[in-house]
Amino acid sequence: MSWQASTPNSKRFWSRRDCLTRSGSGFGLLGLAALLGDVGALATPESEDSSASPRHGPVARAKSVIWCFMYGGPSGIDLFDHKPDLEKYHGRPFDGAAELQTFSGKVGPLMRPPFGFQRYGECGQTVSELYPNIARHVDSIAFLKACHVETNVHDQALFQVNTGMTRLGFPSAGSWITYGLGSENRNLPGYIVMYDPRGIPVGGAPLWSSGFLPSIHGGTVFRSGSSPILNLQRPAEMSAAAQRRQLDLVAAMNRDHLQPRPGEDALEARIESFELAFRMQTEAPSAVDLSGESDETKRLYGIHEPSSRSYGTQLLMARRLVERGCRMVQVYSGGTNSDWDSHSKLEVNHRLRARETDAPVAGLLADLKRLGLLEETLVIWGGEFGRLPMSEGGGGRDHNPHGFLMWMAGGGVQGGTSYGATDEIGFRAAENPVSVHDVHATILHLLGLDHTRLTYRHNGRDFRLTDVAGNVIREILV
Amino acid sequence: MPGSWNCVALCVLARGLIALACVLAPNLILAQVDFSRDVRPILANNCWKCHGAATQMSGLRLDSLESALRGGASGEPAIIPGDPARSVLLARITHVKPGERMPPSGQPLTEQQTALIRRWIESGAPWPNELGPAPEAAGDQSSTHWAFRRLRDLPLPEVSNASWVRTPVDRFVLARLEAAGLTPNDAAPRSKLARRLYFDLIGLPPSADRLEAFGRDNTPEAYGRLVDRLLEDRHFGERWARHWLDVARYADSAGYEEDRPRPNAYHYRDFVIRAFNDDMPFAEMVRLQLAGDLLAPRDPQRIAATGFLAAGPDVRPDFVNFRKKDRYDELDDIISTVGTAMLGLTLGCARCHDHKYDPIPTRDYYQLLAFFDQTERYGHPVDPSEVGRYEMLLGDFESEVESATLELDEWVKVRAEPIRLERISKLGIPEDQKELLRVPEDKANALQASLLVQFSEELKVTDDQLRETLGDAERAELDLMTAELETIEASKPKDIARVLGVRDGNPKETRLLVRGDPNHEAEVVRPDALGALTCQSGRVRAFDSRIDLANWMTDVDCGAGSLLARVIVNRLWQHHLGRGLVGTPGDFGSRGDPPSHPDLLEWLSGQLVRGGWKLKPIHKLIVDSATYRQSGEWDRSRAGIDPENRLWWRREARRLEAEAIRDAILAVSGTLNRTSFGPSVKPRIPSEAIYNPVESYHQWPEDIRDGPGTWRRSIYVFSKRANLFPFLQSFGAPRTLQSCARRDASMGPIQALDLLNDEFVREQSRYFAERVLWESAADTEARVRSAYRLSLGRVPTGPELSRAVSFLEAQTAQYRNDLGEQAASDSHHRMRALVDFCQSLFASNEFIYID
Repeated sequence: MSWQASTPNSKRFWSRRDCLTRSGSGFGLLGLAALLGDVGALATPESEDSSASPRHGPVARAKSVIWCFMYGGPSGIDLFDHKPDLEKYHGRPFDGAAELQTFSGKVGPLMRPPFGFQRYGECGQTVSELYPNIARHVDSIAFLKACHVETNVHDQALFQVNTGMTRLGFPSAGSWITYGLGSENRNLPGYIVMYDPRGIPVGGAPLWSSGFLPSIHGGTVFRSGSSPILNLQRPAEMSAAAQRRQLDLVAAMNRDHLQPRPGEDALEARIESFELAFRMQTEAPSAVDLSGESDETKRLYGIHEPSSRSYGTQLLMARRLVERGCRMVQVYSGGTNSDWDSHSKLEVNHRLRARETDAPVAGLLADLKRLGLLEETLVIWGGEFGRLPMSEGGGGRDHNPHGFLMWMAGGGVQGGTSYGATDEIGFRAAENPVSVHDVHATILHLLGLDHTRLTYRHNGRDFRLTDVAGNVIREILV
Repeated sequence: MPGSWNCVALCVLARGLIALACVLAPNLILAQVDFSRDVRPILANNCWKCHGAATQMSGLRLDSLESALRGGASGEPAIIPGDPARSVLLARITHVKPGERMPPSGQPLTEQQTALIRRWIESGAPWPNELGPAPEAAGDQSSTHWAFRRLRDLPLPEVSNASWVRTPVDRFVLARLEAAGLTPNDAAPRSKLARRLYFDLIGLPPSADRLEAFGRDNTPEAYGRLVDRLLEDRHFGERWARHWLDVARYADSAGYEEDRPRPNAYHYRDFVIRAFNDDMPFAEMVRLQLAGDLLAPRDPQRIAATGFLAAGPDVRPDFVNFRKKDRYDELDDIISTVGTAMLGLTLGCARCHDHKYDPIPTRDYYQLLAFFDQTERYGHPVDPSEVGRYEMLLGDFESEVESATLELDEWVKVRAEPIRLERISKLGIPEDQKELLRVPEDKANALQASLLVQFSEELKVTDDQLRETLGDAERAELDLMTAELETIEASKPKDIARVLGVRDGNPKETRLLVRGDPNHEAEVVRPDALGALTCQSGRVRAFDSRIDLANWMTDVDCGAGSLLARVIVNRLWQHHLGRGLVGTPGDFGSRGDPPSHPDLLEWLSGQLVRGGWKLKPIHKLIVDSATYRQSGEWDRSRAGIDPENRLWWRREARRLEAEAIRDAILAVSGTLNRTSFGPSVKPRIPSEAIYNPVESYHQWPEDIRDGPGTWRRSIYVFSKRANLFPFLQSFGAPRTLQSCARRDASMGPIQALDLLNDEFVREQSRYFAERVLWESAADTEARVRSAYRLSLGRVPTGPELSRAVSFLEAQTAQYRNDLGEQAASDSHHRMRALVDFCQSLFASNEFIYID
């Protein structure tokens, strides 16, 4: 299979080939791993043509993704993308107000950002006073300034940014990634989601669903504390020794059962799945146990400050998880009634949300950098849409699906760059618009996957994360 | 010809692929070029963008034989059948100069692809008439894709080992096995057969008593009697309805942001259970699911069948931002589900472009859509006579609310206006702007409206602010009016009993959408069926309503009936044998797997139709067969010939589905509440797995305690789309968002964690242990025997018995050590150990994999 030859530098590849050679003629480790779902599509020999491998040839830049998801719709024009014309036209009615369908139905006059801006770094990117810490990293960041989605409704836009489709029922990007690449750590899930303790985003668990992909690729919700995964903790009355004895009994029964059934591969895989579960009980809590992290590191993530403690803790957990081989960790900022959705009093709302996320996100970038992990970790910042340049109810802004900002850093992204632009007031993508499919295509590319070849046959059709569209944004690649 | 070994040699020759790939995809190995399967996709993917229906570069179209023969602007034909050397098409795709070579950009066609086209032209460029088998040509349908042909009558094949045969099914299976030099297994032991039958037919384990009684009955008819009894068991419908609900993407809530509950949806689930229990002819079941509201407008039970059309996620019908595209998405959900569930076809592909692999043009998609364009979800009243009275009450209620609200609003507005005007005068803005703001809102022009929005926060007079300005008398008046309104609002008449289904609203003019774009409407289309599945000569009149669609769907002679029969028969086979005769039960098109036993599928489908579409006789033919009854015995030599068991020389152990695992746990611990039908129930979900996006939205309660009310069979568990039941999801229950023809069988540590640590499993293990104690309090060995008998339906072997006994002793000592003698008495420690042992049985492979 030619993909092997094309990725000689990949450690993952070699370990998988070791697997193949060790598996011999019968049912071996590869088959076992496939049944347990921890090898990706690359290893399943289902395509008739080796050129159809989703591995695209060039070396994968990124091994993992940390997606800082600003739920509710953060305002790019108030945080990063300064629009001087908005100062100039402040208070004037918006020209297209009559035809414009907004979420709330009310279109006020244009409104200048209530925050001051400065230029930072060699690239000179503007950042508002809300993000002083992130501002120090602009030279590591590629800004996508003209993103757009098809809907101004939260749940549909959340589905689209996660799955590519506004409709329910499709696998999320994290699921496609673990499907494509498998997991590097069999004792932890490959795709982990942490949501804001104040509440789950609207749309619920389908946001990180594996859709029609095997369920093992679905996002696993992680909480902080000793039991990050549902049912991870053994029953209260049971000691570790008691559960170990019980597992040994199950294993003995299952081996007896397997012995006269040599043709049943799945039985062996299931025996192994109990051992994995037992190891996960130790590994998962230790992966998110921050007691070994220094105070200095915790300060870096803003954990010492009450406002940024929660998000900082989650991002530090995220770093520990990607260190241990997780492919995708998605961390939502914003919960019920305290998300980025600022229909009124944007100034107050964004000051709060920014204070909660500024130090943590900047700390994550700094920490990854000093550990040498930023090169192989793609960090994404963005929401499901942005906010309109017009005012709503005086001090708020309505949803803007027409043109908004996301950024990426690390993992093979060229820092200090910027791609695309909205019009002079930040209303609509005007130059080099970026669709969600483009964003997804780029993420997969950085992970070494060709988005046109990463397919899954479902109900008779070969589905892709990028449907029938998507262009890799080469302008922001290293 | 069995493809799996033949293909290996070819494959290695062709591209040096590993053998496993061939085994998985024997249909890729091409004995003969098949236009639909091999050539059409190449043309569709590489040529039609510029030489198709939308664009004809150089005047050339390559999407029909006629146009390919006509050629383009040069006047030269693109292909000359039988003469690849003179066919321009081949010359252009193989041209050495990149500038001349087609397609002009991207990768050139592979050698394999050009070879296919060469061989296709060589063989006369057969381009099957894809508009369906005309009955006149019924004798020669060889050019049509197998699934689109009419059912054929087939003789039963001859076999050598006739003594193995139990039902005609076996002749088809054995003939293939004998041709491959394989011998099938003999029947499994009776106790295993009984467990297999129970789980496959009713989805529950046999009680130990039943199993022992069956074991004692040595008459040859015992097995057949058991089959008959289980087919008549009321739990049969629950088991098989679950399979159908998978393909019908059934759920109890609407999905999306609000995920509103659908309290009347369960009637559809109950319809399916009853239909299977009563052995309603499948054609009738299908007709009702497509048009029950029109066929039986007075019968709520049959109207409930249209819950099939209503079951998809709801893209928020009343929402202000409801987009045109959302409605088309909703219709696409219906069409795609009808396609996958009933026809095994991927109709959704034709929404934006002609289907690339199957003869389904975009036009057909929109003709089908026209049947549903005016169809909407509707809660049909169970008792229509109540409607008049209810609507009158509701009308009265609404007008009372409206007038009370208006009165209150007006009262408030009059008193709030002075406050507003005062605030305007205090705003720090130019006087001309203030003047603009002073106009009443309903008379504002664009500039004024924009100003009003800008200052809406400053100018908004809250209830409390208003109150401060009121005198005592006015305040009392306001309180009274508010209280009156609240009283009226609380008196909303209670809705009458309803059944969720669909109804037709005003007729709509359906238009074809170019590339599926709702803003790009093309010509008007009339409701019509798929051309590829319709004979033209038999058509007597134009189609109109969903009744016509239902008739066409079940019409074996001139409609989709033959395919409908094949698809459902394949599903029965799939759920009894673990894999369908067609391995892709949701795709019978040219990209799906071809049937492993085409003649058997054909014969069984014919039996279904000849037997008046009754499914139970087909079940009986299958489970009575020697094929089904085989043991699981495996050996290397036969596995070498047919490693995937595609020819069915043995029985494979099968993992129970999510619902069957939960049901079996309940049944074994003696807690299962066997009540059938009715509203869905909400068992406990661990609070950390309850996702409540917004507090006021419809939540899964956190304070549920499981008990008889929730210990129902899993088909009655409330299926909430935004918060699906975690235990069932872990084991691969469908996501309910799209039709699911084959469940995900992946496994992983999360399943193991659930069985080890989930509170439901622990609690049921305790009940199981109590049951064991109650049945055999005597001594440890008796308890172990009892636990084996109840859970696995057998006695433990000697080594198993002693292993269990020593586990119980060691585990008891462990608890004594861990918890101390003071904390609990020794009998408590023994009980804990017994619970752990019972739980181990639930976790064992033998409990979950049925031989």
